[in-house]
Amino acid sequence: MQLLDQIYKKAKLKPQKVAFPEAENEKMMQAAYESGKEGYIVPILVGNRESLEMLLEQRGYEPDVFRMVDVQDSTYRDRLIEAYVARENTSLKEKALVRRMQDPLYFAMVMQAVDEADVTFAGIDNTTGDVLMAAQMIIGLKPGIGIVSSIGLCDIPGFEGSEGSLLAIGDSAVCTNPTAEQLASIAISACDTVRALLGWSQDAP
Amino acid sequence: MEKQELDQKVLGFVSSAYKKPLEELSLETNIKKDLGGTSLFMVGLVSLIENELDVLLPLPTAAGCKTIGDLVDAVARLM
Repeated sequence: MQLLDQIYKKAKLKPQKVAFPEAENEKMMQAAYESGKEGYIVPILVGNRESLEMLLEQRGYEPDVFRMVDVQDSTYRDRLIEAYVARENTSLKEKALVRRMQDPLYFAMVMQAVDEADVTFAGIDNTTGDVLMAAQMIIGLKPGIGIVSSIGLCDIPGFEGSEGSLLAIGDSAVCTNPTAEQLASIAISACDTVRALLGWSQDAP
Repeated sequence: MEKQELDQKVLGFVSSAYKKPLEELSLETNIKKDLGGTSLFMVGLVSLIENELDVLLPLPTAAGCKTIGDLVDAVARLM
């Protein structure tokens, strides 16, 4: 089975709630719509409700494919903040959160931190650095992880490795000049990711 | 807030976020070269500043500050 087919199949078994704080962006809205319509995810558009509804209509997308969160909804915002500050080891206090959550990116991250969303998808209007910093500020790192990193998944024609033509490369997008300790942390994260995403294991078949 | 008070507050926040003794820090301290650390430290520092000084400090602005003095100036402009 092709790599993406594996991932699509896995996603459909348990569609995740995905927050899209850049939903006004045409490509983001298209991605949210198509993946939601196919049943891979539950797309949650986070932004100005009025603008989003207008854009949905203009672009011809059925509104019931999405859930929508209005960042102007102070009742919902305050409920999120209450849940957020009740957690252990939170960094921001209420007033600071109210300021930060005017930005849909931070609003979505708070939603994720309190399990109103499973994941946040962003990086087309915001830079990668902005997204990573927001995630570190609001969500923080998983216990045992010392540094943010990434992997690139490659399907290389003619390559024959332990996973056939597939190769994971970590880290090619986030960490420049990692120390030995950071490199070890990157390697551990990379292994965790490919195990969770694709079931790769170091155990012999 | 007086400049001197702001200087001391920000130095204290840096000390706390980067876990460095206050006496080793000054306004001339270079954040990247002298303190090192990952972006996680910077994020923790900005959180402290925002909580205690009631400002919204854009993370790229904070990350672009070379010295602690530059950071104080950036915060002062927001107050």
